[in-house]
Amino acid sequence: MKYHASRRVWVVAATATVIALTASGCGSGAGDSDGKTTLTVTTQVDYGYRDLYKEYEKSHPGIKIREVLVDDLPKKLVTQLAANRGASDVVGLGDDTIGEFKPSYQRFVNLADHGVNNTDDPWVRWAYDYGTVEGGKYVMGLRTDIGGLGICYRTDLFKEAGLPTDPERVGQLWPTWDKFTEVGEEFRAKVKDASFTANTGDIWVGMENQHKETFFSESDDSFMADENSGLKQDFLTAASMSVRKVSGGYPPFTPEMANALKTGKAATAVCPAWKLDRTKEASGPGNSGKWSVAAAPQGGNWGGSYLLVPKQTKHTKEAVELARWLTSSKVQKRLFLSKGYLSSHPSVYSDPTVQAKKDTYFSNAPTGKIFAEAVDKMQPIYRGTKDSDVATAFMNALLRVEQGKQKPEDAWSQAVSDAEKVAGD
Amino acid sequence: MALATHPTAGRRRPKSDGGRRPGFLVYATLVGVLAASVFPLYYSFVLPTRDNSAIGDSLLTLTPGGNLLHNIQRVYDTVDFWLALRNSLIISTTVTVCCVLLSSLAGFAFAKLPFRGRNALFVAVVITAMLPTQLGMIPLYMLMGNLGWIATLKAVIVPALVNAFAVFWMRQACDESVPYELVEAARVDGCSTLGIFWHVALPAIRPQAAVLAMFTFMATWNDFMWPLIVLDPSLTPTVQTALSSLASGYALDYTLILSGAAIGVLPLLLVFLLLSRQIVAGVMQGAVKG
Amino acid sequence: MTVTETRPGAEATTASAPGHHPRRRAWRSRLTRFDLRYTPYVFIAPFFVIFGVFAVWPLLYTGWISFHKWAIIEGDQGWLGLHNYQALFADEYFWNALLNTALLLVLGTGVQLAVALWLAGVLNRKLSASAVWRAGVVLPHIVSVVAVSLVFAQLYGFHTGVVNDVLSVVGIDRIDWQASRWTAIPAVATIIIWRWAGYYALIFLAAMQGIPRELNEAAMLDGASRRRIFWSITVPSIRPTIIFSVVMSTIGAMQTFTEPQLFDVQGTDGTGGSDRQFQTLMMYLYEKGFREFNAGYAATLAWVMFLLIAVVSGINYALSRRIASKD
Repeated sequence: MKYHASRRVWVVAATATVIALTASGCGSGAGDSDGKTTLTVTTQVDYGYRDLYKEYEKSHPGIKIREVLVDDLPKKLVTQLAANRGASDVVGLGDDTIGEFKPSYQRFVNLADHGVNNTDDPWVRWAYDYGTVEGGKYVMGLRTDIGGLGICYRTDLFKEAGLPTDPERVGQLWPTWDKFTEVGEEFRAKVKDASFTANTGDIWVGMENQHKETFFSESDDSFMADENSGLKQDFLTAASMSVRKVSGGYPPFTPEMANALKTGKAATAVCPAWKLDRTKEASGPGNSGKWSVAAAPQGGNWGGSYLLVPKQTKHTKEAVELARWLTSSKVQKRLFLSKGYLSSHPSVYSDPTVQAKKDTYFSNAPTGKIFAEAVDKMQPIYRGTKDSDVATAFMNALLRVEQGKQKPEDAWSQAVSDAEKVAGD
Repeated sequence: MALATHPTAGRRRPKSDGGRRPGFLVYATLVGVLAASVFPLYYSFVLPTRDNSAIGDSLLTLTPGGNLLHNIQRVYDTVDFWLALRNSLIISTTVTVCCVLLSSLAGFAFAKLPFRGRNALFVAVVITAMLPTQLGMIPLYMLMGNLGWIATLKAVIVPALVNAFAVFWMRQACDESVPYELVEAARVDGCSTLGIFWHVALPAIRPQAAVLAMFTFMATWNDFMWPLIVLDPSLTPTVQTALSSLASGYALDYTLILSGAAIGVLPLLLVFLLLSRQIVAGVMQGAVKG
Repeated sequence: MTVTETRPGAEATTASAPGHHPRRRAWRSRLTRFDLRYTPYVFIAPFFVIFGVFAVWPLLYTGWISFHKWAIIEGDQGWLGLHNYQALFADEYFWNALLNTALLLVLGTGVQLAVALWLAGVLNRKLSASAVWRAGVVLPHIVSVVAVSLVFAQLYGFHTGVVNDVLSVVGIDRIDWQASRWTAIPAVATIIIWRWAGYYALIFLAAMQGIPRELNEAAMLDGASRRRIFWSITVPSIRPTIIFSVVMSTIGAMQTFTEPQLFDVQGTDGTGGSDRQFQTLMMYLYEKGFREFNAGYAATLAWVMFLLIAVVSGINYALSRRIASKD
């Protein structure tokens, strides 16, 4: 009796194994089921496309879209391209990482071969150009949104500190980051239980994005952060915000930060356009109307992405079509109206309805206008092939200052030497 | 089950300090230990029931809310959690079954079959049990590349099919639980070696095999580093890599991650609760003894 | 695979029933002899083949790679001799990671085994509802290590973590757990202890159950205290299990990765804190090998770790033999 019982268990188990092995034999589960073409779109963060996918599937009955978020997308993509396997049909890369893939641009479909150009539904020139190589002949990626830089601030806390609350006047408070720090100190003298800004990491990324060259030189991709005095100055300014207790030290993108926004422990946060929606979500409906947005010191751009189609895809035509649709002015306008993502099409950001858009959550600040103002003046930043590896060293350095472990100068020196090690080989 | 039949169970003990039943203090300690083991687990089940605007609240809010289903839906919206669950199930089941079968075979051979070089080979097993095999992952990764296995489940399954500790464990089990007389008798009856393994050894070592199976399943299910490296998060996510994807990038949202974690742990919890008695008993039987 | 095997037992009876075929019988006996002689090798072959190819070979090849400039994707870039080793021994981040790993080893594994031993001692008493307690202590082990690490990272949050909330109730200032090695390592150690103490407690308990009860009872009659019995009878009796556990958990601890990696707010991008204050050797290996794709350097680190593990295991073995056999 016992024999049989035990044997049955083994037989079941072994059968399960055989089935499992055959099932795993073909490797991936991303096959095209029920005659539909499945397009996988992989991005590093949520691009807010979910509803759009559903709509696209409805209007294109033969298409199914799989959305995948990958923590370490640029690293994974490197290995996927090398192995010639695993890359998705459409890949989203941030404007800070696409540069790492420009040397291997031939592994991506040249979208120009599929009718993409910058005349039919034009993007703002610099944003389009940055997604191309070979002097514009090879279109690697299509620009999604633009991260026009703004500063979110709490009107209630500003009032308490005796600061103005009107976006226009708040923006005039801080023409430069140094001014921003001074306002912060003023604020700190008046308001005891809140810090002026959430953290220095976000400030630094905002600043760093205002340079044309940052860590690597545009001419030969060599490491140049050690000679980039403007960059160093900005770093020291950012770090000094910790020393001068202007920053609260709530690390970027953590629940700690969300808590600070929600409970009014931080009066300002760096807000590129795409972050408005996230700020809203993090600080919760209870704070509606307490927030507003003003222009950031020295303007600039943080973020925005490109959609690319790796040559590995088996559905080039469909993938290109989807990428074009997602980045078209029509769709980008909707994303602005629903989520506040600033469009990279001049036809959208200069559109009167967009310019007139006001967000009640942000005290009816004219977000469309604030963000759109700087777009024309923007320029893309040169990003080296090891940019993201190096960036960590500087974020860590700021964190060290924030944690009281180092002085700003020392933190900078260590960041540079750390970065050199990474860039060196 | 093995515990209940202990020879001294039920016998009257002499009155001495050592024989006293454990007092209040011991139970209080145990309750404390239990609370400590359950708390983070409880916490990871409570957060998912709350709505995501609560994530900014102080985290010392321990009462459940009513948003579990909604959050689980968001998990499935955000990552392909079905695929991750399916992959994890395939990997863990295959590895578990193969590992238990293959190491039982080897363990049986080492314990009960005479062959030349047995001792030397077994010493090799014992030594390899101590090898930190994870450290070979760079060549292993390149090997997977040459085989074309990167981003396929095989890359995780095949290297885990055997491990030296399992062989060691099953040899111990066969040594203790398979009587020589039965092996000899089966041989006299004309059983082949495989037949003896199948009809005599396997049924006898079931409890220890169950323990090995459970721990192999758990370890494989919870493996993170190698799948992170060799699998592809979009083609072949596992529960663990999908969880880390949920935690990535701009996700401020711990309710989401922990909802995923809660779903991811359910299969294990279920198996564990169903088997916990057998496992505890099996561990007792299969103890590594001097 | 095994399912499709024929059932030799049944076959044997039908074959021997008529018994008129001498040739067939000879074949049969030859088969039996073959079976006796070679089947054991067939049984152990899968282990040795798979283990050899997918575990031993990569480990040895790691050594070969370490003498080269080698990139994960581009492959071999030329012989470097001992250069990688020189670079590694001059690399302060290597020593930093080594120190962290050692601290975690002592604080995590050491405490975890001590707790386990103590727990096993408690569980070994005549408890009511013993199954509940036993199941309870291994429960932490089944929870996803990814989820656990994330939850603990939350609990230890500076501004909003529960641990600091509790401390501030008692009147202790909030601690920035991640900021310093001396707070981060103990915090990570608690994750490790939490996950593994129950597991090892069960293993110790299993061994304790094998101690003849007469031994304890005789000691009790002599009026020995419980503590004395524990140290002079229980612990020495389970010595092999203790040694085994110490060695195995040391090997595991030397390769700690997930808990500290996910304790970092930057997740898998992180370097174990702003100043690598809780970066372990394995995390450094991951950073070099799979983020910077520098296979040669990572292999060097792996090979050095391998030697270190061998040495530490040896020391451990000797030490735990002595400790467990004292008295």
